[in-house]
Amino acid sequence: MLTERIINKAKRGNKKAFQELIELEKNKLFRMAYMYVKDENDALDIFQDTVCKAFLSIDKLKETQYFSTWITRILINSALDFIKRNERVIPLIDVESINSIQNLHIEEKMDLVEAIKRLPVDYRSVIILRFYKDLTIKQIAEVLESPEGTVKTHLHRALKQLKADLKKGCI
Amino acid sequence: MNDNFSNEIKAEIDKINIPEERLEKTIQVAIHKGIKKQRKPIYKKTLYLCSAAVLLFSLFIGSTFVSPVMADVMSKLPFIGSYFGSNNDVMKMITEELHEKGYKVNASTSYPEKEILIEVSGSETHYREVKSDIETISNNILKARNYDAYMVKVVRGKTKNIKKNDDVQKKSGEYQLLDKEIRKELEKSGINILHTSIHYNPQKLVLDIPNTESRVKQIKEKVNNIISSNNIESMQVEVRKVDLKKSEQESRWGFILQDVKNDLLGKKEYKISQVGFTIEPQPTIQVFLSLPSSDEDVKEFAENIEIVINEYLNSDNMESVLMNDSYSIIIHSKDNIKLN
Repeated sequence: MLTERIINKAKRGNKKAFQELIELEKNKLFRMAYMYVKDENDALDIFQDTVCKAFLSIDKLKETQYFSTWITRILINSALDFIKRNERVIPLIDVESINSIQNLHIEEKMDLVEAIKRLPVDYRSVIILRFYKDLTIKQIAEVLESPEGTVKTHLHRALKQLKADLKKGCI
Repeated sequence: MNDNFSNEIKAEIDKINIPEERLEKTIQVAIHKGIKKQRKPIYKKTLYLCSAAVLLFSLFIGSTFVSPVMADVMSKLPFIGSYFGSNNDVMKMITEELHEKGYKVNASTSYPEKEILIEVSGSETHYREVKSDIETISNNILKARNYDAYMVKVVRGKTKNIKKNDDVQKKSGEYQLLDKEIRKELEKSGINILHTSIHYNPQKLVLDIPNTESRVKQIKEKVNNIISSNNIESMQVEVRKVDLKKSEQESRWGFILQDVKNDLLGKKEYKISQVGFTIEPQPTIQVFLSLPSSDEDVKEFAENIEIVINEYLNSDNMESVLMNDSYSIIIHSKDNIKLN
């Protein structure tokens, strides 16, 4: 495929080819970063970190068809690192949060993205990877470097929470 | 069911606004950062080859060594002579600094190991106390000049028991007297003596005179007279003629080389194990690389080094020191094959 040629070029250090690859992924990457930090500046930080790391390690990418998954993994790790470094308080679904959720306006409650943002980071990752990036359980397990069983459990629980949060009908 | 959810999620997440311009800029910054990080050690070889290629190309354009194009390219190459004509031999600096701090040390260097040996005189306890400070001071001086090729080793100096040899003392006194008288006497006839020295086995007195001086017989006569009149054991008198111009040239080039040597030997990136020079028949700088002739990049590397040395020697500061002497540079590989 055409992308494969570009990837191989990028692997050999071709800056332009690498840039082309990033162009294809940039929007999705940025949006995913945003889903973790809810702030444009922070998202750009994570994005920059991701692109830099990808540039430095692309020569190690073995299977070219997995470029997208590969760079997604880098992004998720960068996002998690960023959160750790900045000690952002990730809203956990605990008694307090449930109360606060109940106090939210209905419109906000209905907002899917907001609901996802309210998920704990691990659950958020599986939801984003499963439904935004359409990865299989196996691929998600690779990206998150987690066992498949854990991924399944997280996904299950994440969906449950979202359902409860959104009070939606059949999901 | 899941598909619907998936579509919904996609639709929702894709609503997140993309700051186009900032995103583009971020990509550029990120790649730039990556390139900078890459440039360290791993890509030095590529950098050398690229620099060499660019340089050779510039040379083909027929520019002189001091053209602005060259200068610009040169600035990307490691350059030598950061201490233009300051005659700041790094060993001298280290010794001076340590003496200033009150340490009684003696520093010497060994080649091609490039080990700086610092001998500390005093007791074992004293040595242990001062060892790390001496190491730090020395390494800091090296670091300030980016000399990464040298290893500093601080050891306890063996106390040399210089027994006062009375016989030697006596002879030395005699000799000094002799020197003084000879000069005084010969001055009367307008004869200039450059240097006197005593050689042993067989014992002889050697006088160095300028090669413009022709009164050798006269000199010998007078010197012999002085020796006998002082009741000194008679010895051979030898008169050597010295080419003043060459002698002056030799000391000038020695001075030039001091600076060159310091940088070339001090930095690992030059891969030079030894530097020497001769002035016969013409000033020649000899550089010995630590690379074997079998290395595929060695020729380019040698050419590179030659250019760097030439650039230094042709710089403005060096003009007065070089005094238009024509010179040549020879670069050898580890296995003594001439590379340039």
